[in-house]
Amino acid sequence: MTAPGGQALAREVAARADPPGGMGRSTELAPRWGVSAHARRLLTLGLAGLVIAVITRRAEFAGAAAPALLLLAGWRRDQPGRIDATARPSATRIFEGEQTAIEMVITGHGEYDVELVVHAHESVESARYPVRAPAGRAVLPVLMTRWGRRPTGICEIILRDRWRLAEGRAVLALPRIDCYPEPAEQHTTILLNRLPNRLGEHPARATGEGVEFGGVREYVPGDRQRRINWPATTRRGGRLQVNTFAAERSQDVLLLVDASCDVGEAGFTPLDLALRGAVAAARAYLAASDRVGLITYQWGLSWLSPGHGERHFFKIVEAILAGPRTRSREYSLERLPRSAFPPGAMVLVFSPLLDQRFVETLRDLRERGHFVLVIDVLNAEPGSIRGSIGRLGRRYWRMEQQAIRFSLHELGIGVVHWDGRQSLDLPLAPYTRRAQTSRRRGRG
Amino acid sequence: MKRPGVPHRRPAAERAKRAAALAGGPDGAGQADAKPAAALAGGPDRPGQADAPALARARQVAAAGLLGGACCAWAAWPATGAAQTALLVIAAGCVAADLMRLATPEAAVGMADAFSSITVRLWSWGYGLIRQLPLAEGAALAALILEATHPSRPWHTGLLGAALLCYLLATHLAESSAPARVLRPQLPALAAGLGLLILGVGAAMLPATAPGLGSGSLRVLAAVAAIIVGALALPL
Repeated sequence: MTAPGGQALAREVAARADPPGGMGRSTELAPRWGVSAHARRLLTLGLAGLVIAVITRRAEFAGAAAPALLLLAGWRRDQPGRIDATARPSATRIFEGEQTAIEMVITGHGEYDVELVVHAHESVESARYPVRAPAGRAVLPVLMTRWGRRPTGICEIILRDRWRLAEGRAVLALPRIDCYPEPAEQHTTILLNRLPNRLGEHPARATGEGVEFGGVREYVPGDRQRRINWPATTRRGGRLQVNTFAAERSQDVLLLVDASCDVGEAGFTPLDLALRGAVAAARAYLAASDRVGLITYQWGLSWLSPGHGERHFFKIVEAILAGPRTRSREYSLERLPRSAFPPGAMVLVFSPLLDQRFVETLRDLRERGHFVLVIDVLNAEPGSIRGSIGRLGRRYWRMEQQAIRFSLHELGIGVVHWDGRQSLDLPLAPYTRRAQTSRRRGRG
Repeated sequence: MKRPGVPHRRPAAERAKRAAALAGGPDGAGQADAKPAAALAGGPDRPGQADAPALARARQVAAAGLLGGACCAWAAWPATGAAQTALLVIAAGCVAADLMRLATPEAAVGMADAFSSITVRLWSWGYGLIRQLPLAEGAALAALILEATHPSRPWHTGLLGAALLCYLLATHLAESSAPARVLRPQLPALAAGLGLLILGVGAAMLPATAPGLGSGSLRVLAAVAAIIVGALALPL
């Protein structure tokens, strides 16, 4: 696992999840044997030289054919009928853009040389040239360029004899590697002014047992003596004064990911950005001891109840990769259980705002008093039609998008745009400077 | 605000170091195979090391191309007739197309699908055609026929035979990205074959005592017999 400090947990998650296909298991393969291209070329040179020598009665052509024909004399028939191949990835779960390796172990090939040719999946980069495997062992580098749960590709195992005349080929499916969306950069968090009565790390308005200084009040029986503020006591004529501290609370954060459309340049589609942003937000809020939940909006709703801690981070990412489990047509958030949608939770929405039903869902959320902030991840626009009709259509489309955002703004739903390249802290800056208000209409 | 337990992505330098360590393989198995891995591991972080296998392969491809071109030129020289020019064009075309096949690894060519552009589909189709055609065989055959169109010049033909063999070996090394040392087991056979080549050329240079059909045929038969004897006598 690539996450420092979370390797044991990652192993646990990996053990509980579906095991990636073929991981570490030996597979018996039957190579298909045939004459190598090298042998065919030598045969062509030798036979052509002999034929020309006979036709033209020129002995030098027979001499020219001699080396090729002698090389062909090394043909052997004892090719292995079965080999065992094992593909073992060094990490089964990585983030986008990270490199890992697949260790290949081939046994049963005897004295034959082993070469490996990787035919990688389109979003996977691996060795472009054949990789030699001395003693049947090789390490194939793998670079995942896009998030997803998909097979890595296939590996063609080529066996060659010492004289490179016979060639056996077998194909092994490489194990699956889960690639998590690369978290965007986010260090700041949005804080609500009303926090639920749950222990956390955010200083609340209420007094409590935190560490942040809250004020001074008169001593009442039962107060701890160590909290007596002696300078204040002296100033108040000897009446004992004690320090009060702000309570520390945590908040509920719901990440609402709109996965209903995937348009634009591959790797920078709204879905890509939404997932990267959601992972970044989950990481940032979990690091602040908040409870984070996930709701994915696609052809239906799927949700993960809010939780906290390191383990929950992996649950969220696994839920993102797994996608919706059911194909329910339920779009309304009202039917979600209370545990999945706690009242007063802050809702961070990652959406391109292209689905009108989703916009209605946001309106409903706001009317229920939640603080809702939309991170607009749309960075593409229709551009296939050229000419005046296309320009008119694009203009109409832009106006429609502006109208949607304006209506959300009027409802008190903040909308910020994120291009996926800059830090998420930048668009969120107006909301992270002060505590945000929930359960009241108005901007933010 | 950041709690150490919650995972964060590793910095680029650490990831590159980890990838380089992975490329070396467990218990140091197979340093030769670590080269392509190191190349990928280099990636954008370490561009210097990423070129090593590509450069080695480029050298092999260039060697194959140079040898192929030299064979064509050597066999064609001096090209006088139209037939010889046509054969030269065929041989050179085969060498050039084979060079393109070698220079473009199969994994680098994406598969065209129904949504690909015409250019991508044409490129994919042309590349598939080039991979299927026996281009190196065609080049060797054309060069031999081209040589046969010239009057007898035994030493010239002998050198062409040696060059064609080197061309085929270089082509094989380039397409399999294998180092030249994989040919070491074949050295005895190569030495014996070159000896037979010299014998054949020498026999052809000897003046015939009785010029005619029988004399030429006997020389050819003697050369073939020598090849068979050599193959049987080789300690394989």
